[in-house]
Amino acid sequence: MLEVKGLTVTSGRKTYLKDVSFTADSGRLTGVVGLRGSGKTELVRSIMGLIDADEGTIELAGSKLGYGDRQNFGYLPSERGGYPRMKVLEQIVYLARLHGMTLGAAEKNAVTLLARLDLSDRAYAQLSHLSGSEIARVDIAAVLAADPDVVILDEPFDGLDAESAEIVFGLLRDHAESGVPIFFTTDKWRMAQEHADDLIVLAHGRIVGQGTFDDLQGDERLFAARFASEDDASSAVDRLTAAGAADVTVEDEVVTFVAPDEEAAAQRVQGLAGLRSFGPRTRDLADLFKESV
Amino acid sequence: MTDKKTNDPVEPAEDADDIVSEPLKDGDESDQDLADDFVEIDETDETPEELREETPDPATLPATGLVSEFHDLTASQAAYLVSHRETSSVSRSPLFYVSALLLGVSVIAALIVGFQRAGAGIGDAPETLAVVGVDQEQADGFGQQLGLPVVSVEDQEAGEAMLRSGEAGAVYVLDPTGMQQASLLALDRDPQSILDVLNQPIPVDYLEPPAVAPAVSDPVAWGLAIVVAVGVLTLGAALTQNLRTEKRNRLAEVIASTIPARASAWGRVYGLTLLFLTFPVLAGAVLLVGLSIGQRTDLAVDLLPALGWFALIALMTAFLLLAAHLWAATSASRRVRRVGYGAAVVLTVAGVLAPLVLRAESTVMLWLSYAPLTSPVAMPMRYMAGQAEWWEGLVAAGISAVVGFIVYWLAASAYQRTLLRGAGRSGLKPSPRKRRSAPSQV
Repeated sequence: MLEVKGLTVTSGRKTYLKDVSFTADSGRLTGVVGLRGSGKTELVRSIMGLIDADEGTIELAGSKLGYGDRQNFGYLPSERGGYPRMKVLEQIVYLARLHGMTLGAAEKNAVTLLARLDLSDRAYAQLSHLSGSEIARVDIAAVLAADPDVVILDEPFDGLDAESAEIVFGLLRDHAESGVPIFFTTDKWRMAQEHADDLIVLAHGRIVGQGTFDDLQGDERLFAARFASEDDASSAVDRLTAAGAADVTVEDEVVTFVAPDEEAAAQRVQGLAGLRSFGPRTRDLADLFKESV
Repeated sequence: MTDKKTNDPVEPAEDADDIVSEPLKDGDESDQDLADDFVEIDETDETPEELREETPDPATLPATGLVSEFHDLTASQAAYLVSHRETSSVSRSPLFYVSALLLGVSVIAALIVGFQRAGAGIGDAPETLAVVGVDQEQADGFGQQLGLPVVSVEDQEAGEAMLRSGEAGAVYVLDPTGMQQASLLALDRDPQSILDVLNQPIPVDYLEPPAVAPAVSDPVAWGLAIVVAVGVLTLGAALTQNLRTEKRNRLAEVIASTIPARASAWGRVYGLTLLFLTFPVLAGAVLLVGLSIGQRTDLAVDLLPALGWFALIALMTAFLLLAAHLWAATSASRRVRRVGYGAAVVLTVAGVLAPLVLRAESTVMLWLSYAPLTSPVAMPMRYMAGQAEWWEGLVAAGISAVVGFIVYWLAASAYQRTLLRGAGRSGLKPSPRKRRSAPSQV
């Protein structure tokens, strides 16, 4: 279990992270989502000990992290490319051996991972000859080849197409099942929502929400009502607001609003002119982020 | 159903199902065994054959199927891994091959020039002949007879003084007893133009006997300069390029989080220094083959001390200059990097050219033969001229090594300080602390 407590990172007048605390549990995928510039990379670099935090501590299994403890962290920086002239297999083996892995084990893991990531036929290709998606998968293989105790991925979806992302996160989930905390950052809301067990929403260096996706939904639910015309929808906005519905918005003929439960929502739409249909609507992570910020 | 080529209707085979599904009868067991042993080859699988055999079936492995076998990675082992990566990467680059080719061509050119100069008597001594024991009138007579300027000197010492001052190319010495043949005394090279006009073969003695004739040593000195310049500039450029790649792709962060920064710095400089040896070895091999073809293997023996000391001093100089390249490449500022890289290139080129330009000044050459950067060319030149003692090469190599380690220490410190600067878009100051103590230090 990786635990970050009260992490604050500043440089001059700029605050990159402010009092950030969370736990990345073993065996689970923890995703940090936020816009670019929200402090995700600084958070990752702080965890990896690459920049100094002004305040706060980072602990692994209850012990404060030292330099040696990070040697078997699997770390993926946000840039892709590796060594362009190096062959894929060589590159993975080289990076695994820097973690202290034996040559035989590094080669075996590299071959296994290339097979899992559908890259066996590219093992002896130079990295510069690979597509962006293939390079992104090679980078993931390089991270996992040393069978890391903790996996830290900065923007792992960059360069991955949807199909590759499925393959990669299937592999990551398998790795997590061996009791490894997997921590990643992304600005792709939907991908985070699909793949993370636990989510941390970061905005301007602060955590504005964390928990499972259901936790982030909160007690109140979002509902949508479709009307016969835009005029009907517009007039429904005032009546819903007067009836106590929260966060009422309208887009074309659809009005969305928040209510504690379906029964309360049904009471509020009852009798509205031009109502065609009505039902609950799941808020996605982007909606939740907008509401939080 | 239609034939794809002719588009004509095709009747399906009536007994097609029988052919496919017919069970094996008794007596077909051997066929069944064969069928069991038969492994279906997927023609669309592009996996290389050697990997195909080793690739385990994911279904038979637990979860990821990864194995965990680790050992304590010492700083020396980490440095070796980095050096191996650097050398294998550089030795496969087109730049390396082009440089090696250029070097081979240069050595061949030097050989051809050397042979031509030796044949044409270029690099010859002055034409004036000093004669001992005759008056000036007789000397003039000799001069008219030979077609050379001939001067009279009182004794051999006076003749030697003229040789050293360059006023005469040779001194004609008669044996006072008249029992033995006359001989010529020269400074450090054959007085070829004088020997050519003398009708009889005559032995030549040297005041300062050279190990190698200047006609050969001059092109060889140029060859040595090219070896150092091409080798250092090629490997220095590769080192700089690899460092920039690591910073751009943020591999520097992965390296910084796994191995000590000094191990990474040492691995680069040490690995590429060893790779530098390829250039003198290649040049030496081409030289030996060329001398064999030119039937001048005797020269190889004469050149051996100079080339041996060259290899050692050049190795130390390469270490120094590659450390300087590392130092220059560590800066996060592009402008500082460019200035630093330019300075390293200028120092390399100026260092190898200075002895060639200043070779006539013996005192300057003495200093240059000890000075780092100039010593790999200047010291072998002095060996070829027969002016250096055996231990002087060792001293020159030692001086280069000491200066090299000082420059390396400065470069490694700068590398450690700036490893993470310029890596990625974050302008944050990298962590200056830590750098794990390793079981063994490099």
